[in-house]
Amino acid sequence: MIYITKIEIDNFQSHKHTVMDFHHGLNVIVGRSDSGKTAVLRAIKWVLYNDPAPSSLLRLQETQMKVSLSFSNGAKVTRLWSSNGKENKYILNRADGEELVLEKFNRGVPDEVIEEIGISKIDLGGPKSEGINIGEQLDGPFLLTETPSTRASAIGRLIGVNFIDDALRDVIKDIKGNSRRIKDQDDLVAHFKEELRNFESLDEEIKNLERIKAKREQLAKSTSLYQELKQLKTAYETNIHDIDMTEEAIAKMGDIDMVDSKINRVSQCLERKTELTQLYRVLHSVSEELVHLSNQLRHLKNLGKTELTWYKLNEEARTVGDLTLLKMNLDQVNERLSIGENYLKKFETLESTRSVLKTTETKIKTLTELKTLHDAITLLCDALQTEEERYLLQVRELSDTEENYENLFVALGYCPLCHSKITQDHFHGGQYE
Amino acid sequence: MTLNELDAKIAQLERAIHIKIGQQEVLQRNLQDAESKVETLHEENELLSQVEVLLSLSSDYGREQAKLQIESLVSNCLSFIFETDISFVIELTENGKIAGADFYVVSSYDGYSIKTKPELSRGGGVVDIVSIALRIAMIEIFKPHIEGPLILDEPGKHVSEDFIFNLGEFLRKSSTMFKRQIIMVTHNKYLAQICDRSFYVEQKNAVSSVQELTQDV
Repeated sequence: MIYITKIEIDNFQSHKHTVMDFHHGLNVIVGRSDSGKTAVLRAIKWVLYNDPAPSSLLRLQETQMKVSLSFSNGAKVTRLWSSNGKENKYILNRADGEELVLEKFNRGVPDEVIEEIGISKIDLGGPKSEGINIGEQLDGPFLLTETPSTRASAIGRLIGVNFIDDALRDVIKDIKGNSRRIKDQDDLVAHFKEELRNFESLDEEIKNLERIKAKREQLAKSTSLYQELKQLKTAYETNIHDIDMTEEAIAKMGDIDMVDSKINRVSQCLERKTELTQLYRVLHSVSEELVHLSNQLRHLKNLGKTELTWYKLNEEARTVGDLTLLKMNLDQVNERLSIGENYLKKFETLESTRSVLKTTETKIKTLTELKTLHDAITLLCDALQTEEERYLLQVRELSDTEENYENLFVALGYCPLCHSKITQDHFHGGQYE
Repeated sequence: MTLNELDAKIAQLERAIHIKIGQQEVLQRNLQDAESKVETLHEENELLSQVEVLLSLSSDYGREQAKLQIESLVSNCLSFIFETDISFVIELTENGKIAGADFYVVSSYDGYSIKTKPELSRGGGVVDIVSIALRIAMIEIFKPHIEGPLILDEPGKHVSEDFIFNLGEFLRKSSTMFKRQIIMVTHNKYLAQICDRSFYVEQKNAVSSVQELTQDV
């Protein structure tokens, strides 16, 4: 706990210069009345609370007063004031050695000082803040004379309930405000509901509108149908009129069959006409040719003379032809004569050839005889071969039979004649005994 | 009436209905807004009521705790000094929404007790002691903690010689117990004697001088 170690008082009331070193426990100041005891306490109070006002505290005939308090935490607070207004300050020597000169504090104590020494007036909810550290003689009994509410407030403030009380007051205010707002809103809700009542028939109106629209659609459809029908009726009437007209026309026409025969005749006539046209064309061309031919005929008037010349020429030409033919025969005969001569030349060797032919004929006879002999020999050779094969076959059969016979003996094991024992070995010398 | 005229009338009717629908929607929205606001406000109020209760209970509880501490401290002080069965009682009252506190001193004599308001019906001695005890209680209990000395000008001025020694003893013990420096002015020689350090102040020629006295003097 911070306590005051020392006080220095200069020119403060009855003290000119006083220095006191305090004990950390119980300090007592005694003395006669009006000797300056309370002035010491007042000096402390002046420094701690900047109270009372300094003008009443200055020693008579002095202009400047000063009180310094040294604290156990090493801090020192000096309050300085001069009557000429030049000096009015706190000098704070902090525990860490820093010195602050503080001049702006009005009637209170600089925050720096309060922070350093942890002493200040406290608000106990009474009319003025209390210097709870200092109980002065003239203060009256502490708290006892205050009003019950102030006392309750003081008790509350001891532990900070005053903040809760403040909050509580605010909350109550808020609740009141809220209730008011709720009422306002309720009124508003009622108002809106009232207004909405005017719209209750709206749904019905909407339905009516829908019905009207539906009817309107029906009407539109009916109208268009009517228009269509109207058009159809017009068309119908036109058609009827057309039919009437046609019928009338038909009636005017009379018998249609007669028309048909007439048409046939007309078409036949047309065909005939076409044929005739073609014939006419042919006629025309023939007549043109005729003209042409008669022209030519005119050119051919002196034909007789020409014919005579032609005959003469013809005769001469025949004579030339005969002569030419004779010449050709002559040539052919000459040629044949040369061929006959050549042929005759070929027959010069005829006699010698006849003798050769005779020799050749004899030789052919001999050859034929030889050939017959060869054929007989060939037949004999074939017969011989066949006989040979038959011989070989019979030899093989004999050998097989022989083998079977041996096997039977071996199987029997003994000779059926002499009853001597027979084995395979008896036959292997190749000679049967 | 032609179809076109009918259409025009239908359109007119439709417009009118649409306007009405719009108005109705606006109104419904407003109504919803207002209703939700009411609901929010009700919820808020509910919350506030609970907060009120909580704060009220906290406040009561806090005050009750402080009250008990003060009662105990002051009662101990009175008993110590007067050496009788005397106790200090605080009664918390509520006048409307305003909390009040009444202070009583209760003295018990052989089976019956007297409960009085000290400032009205007790002697100055009791008032003096209650005043000092209250100050000590308050300064010690106060949060945040208050540093510095307790300075008293003539404490126990009205306390009779019989109890002044006990008062001195009480102050000393308080100083020791709470480790709080006490600086006091007194005329009383007993009080002057039980201190840790004493100073004598005298005035000569309008100048006060202070002398430190030894314990033995």
